Amino acid sequence: MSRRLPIYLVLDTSGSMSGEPIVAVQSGVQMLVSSLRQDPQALETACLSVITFDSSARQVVPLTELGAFQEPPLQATGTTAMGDALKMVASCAEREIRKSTPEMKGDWKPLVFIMTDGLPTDDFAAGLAAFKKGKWGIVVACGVDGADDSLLKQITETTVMLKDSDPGTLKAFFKWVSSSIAKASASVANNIDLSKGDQLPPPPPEIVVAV
Amino acid sequence: MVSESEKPLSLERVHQSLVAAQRELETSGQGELVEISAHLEVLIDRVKSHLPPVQEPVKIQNDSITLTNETPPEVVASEAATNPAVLPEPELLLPPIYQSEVEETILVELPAATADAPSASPESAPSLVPAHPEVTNEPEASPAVVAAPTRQTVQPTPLKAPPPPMIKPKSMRLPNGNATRAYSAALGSVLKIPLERLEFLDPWPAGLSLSEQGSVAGTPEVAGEYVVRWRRVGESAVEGEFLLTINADPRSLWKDLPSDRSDPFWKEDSDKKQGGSAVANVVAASVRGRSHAHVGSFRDDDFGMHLPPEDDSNGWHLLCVADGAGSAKSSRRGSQVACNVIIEKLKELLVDSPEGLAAELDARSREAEESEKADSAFWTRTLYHVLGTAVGHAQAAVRKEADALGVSIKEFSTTLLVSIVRRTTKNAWFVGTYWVGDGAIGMWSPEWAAPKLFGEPETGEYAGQTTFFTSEDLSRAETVQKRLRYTLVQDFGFLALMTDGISDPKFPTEQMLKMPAAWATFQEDINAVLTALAPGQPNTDQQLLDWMDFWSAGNHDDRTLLLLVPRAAEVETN
Repeated sequence: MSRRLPIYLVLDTSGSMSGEPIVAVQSGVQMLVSSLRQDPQALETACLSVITFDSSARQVVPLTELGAFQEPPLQATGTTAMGDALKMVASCAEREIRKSTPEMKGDWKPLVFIMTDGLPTDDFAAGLAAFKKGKWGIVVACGVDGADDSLLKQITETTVMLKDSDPGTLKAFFKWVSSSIAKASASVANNIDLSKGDQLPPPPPEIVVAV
Repeated sequence: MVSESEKPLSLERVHQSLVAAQRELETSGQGELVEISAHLEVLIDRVKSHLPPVQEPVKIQNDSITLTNETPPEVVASEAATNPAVLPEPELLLPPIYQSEVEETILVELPAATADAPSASPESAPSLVPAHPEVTNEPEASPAVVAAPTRQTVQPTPLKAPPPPMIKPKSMRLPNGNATRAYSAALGSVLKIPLERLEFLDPWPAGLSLSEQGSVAGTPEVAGEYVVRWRRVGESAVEGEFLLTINADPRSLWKDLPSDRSDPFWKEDSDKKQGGSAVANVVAASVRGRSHAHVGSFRDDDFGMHLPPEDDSNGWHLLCVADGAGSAKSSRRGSQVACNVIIEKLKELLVDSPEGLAAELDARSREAEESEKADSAFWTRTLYHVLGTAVGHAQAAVRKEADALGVSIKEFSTTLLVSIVRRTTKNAWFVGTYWVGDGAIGMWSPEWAAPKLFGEPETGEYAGQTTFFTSEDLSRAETVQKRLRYTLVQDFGFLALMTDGISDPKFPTEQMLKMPAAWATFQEDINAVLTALAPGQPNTDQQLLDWMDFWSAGNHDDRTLLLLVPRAAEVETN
């Protein structure tokens, strides 16, 4: 069995995402999957999981190889339990990612894309602490509208802000995520360490890198 | 009769699917796909010209498709909100794949399903005269349905439910399949309707068929998104549809793009060489990985060899392989320079001035295994002198190239695996090695309890981190010394130098490089090459190159393998 590239999509499905944004996220995930399915490296190595968070966090799709992945339905409701989401992704990764054994090399370090449009309504610090214990390859936090970039920066240096939550902007974001995953699949195929910087494609104009 | 009225309708459906597909391709932003979308447009026009004279509705539907594509949310929201009573159907159960609400899943997620929505009205009402001015109530109902998406954006309150013909087919997603791989999914458990009462309006994907037991099974041939609509026998309305994704066979997706020949550091996408001395035959092959071919980049691996003349039974076999770092811009040049200079310098030190090490070797190799231990200080010192000097020169040469370009030597990062091999006058084999980075140098004989591995590959727990020869601080003796290994043996099966493009798929872990079973498997794997190599058959290099095209999912790095096999006859007679 070859080494997998685990990818966690952590998506804010709080009430404020309802309407156009949540549908744009839904179709964004769909677009991401169908475009990655055309990429042989991604198709062979990438595994996808979706974790959503509103009043609490749940893993709606466990880590699944790209070929078998089916997009989950997304509904926007409730508050923004981002702390719970961070805890959730850490525990899912701990459980799902294969460690190296004498006979088998473990999975590649996971990619995590966190997207939120609000401020955490739960214990963010506790979630952050749990998350920081994990071993991650690339972590990208994406803030929309009401999100606080300085807060997201605590999760990862790679924090980007979307100009707005228009469907076009969200689509551009997912397209960028898709090319990031494609690039990472190519990198691991060439044995390039993901945790070394400079592994993301340049973001489109709709995405502003937070500094 | 049914088929008569069905014909134009399914063409309409084809038209809609084409329009949806064309839009998807067009908006993909990927050059090639956008190009295909332009071709599709021609096809769409042709299909459109054959559509029945329901001009008005079709045109409106086109517009509505545009709308749904841009803002699928409203369509879904409006229909779900307006038609809650229409959706649930007691006989339809959720597919086991999904724990959650199928209707919602599909409605929201699939443009195909959404795009179908408008077609539902003409489809479900084939008996009605399609939208003609004389049908007075039709214009009212029809625009209301079609305009729903636009209106919804402004006015979020649910519209009044349109008349009964608005039955939306229930979409059920089957597990995904893979082209060229066996597939089976049971419909029976999904659909609690006896199969004989069902009629399918679309074919299953090529290679799949529905068994009497109610399983869709077979080996799908063509990748794609498939929709298979069904209705009850005797009913005219489509009641539901199965959605099925067939993934492409990854092998069919790999491209083989040429590398840029005008690049100053261009090299052949593959290379091979074979040769023989009086006592051993050597073959090497190196090939660009699929991951590089896919994007038209270069082969970063390289190798080098120098063999003694045919009449010299005690000459030096100088061998090396190197793997330029995928992340380093000019690493293909780094690996090339390192290999060339190493061989050149070793030749100078060992062949052109044959005194010294060779004489010492002959003197000390009476009892090979004993000498290996007893004389370890001597061997270490001597190897340090020879290999240390050579690698020092190699690194300096690479650095010089980097300096000339005004860039860091890191851009030339490469691993380096070197072996010097000689048959002593006492018929023992001496093998000395220097190994930095991933890949492997190993020796194996089926009679052995364990392989001889000439070092420790350096990789991290998760990532493919490795050490590069070009980053080594060669001014420190211990940096060089810890990379050196040697052995003295009476006989062996083969010696292999490989880059990680070979060792990763064949020895997935560092631990496996030390396992006799893994080496036995490897020997079996390349047995045809070894068998041809032992007597030095011509074209063994091509044979090795062909073998290196093996398939291993997720392992598409450059591959380089160099093998040395003692001459069978020599071993027997001595």
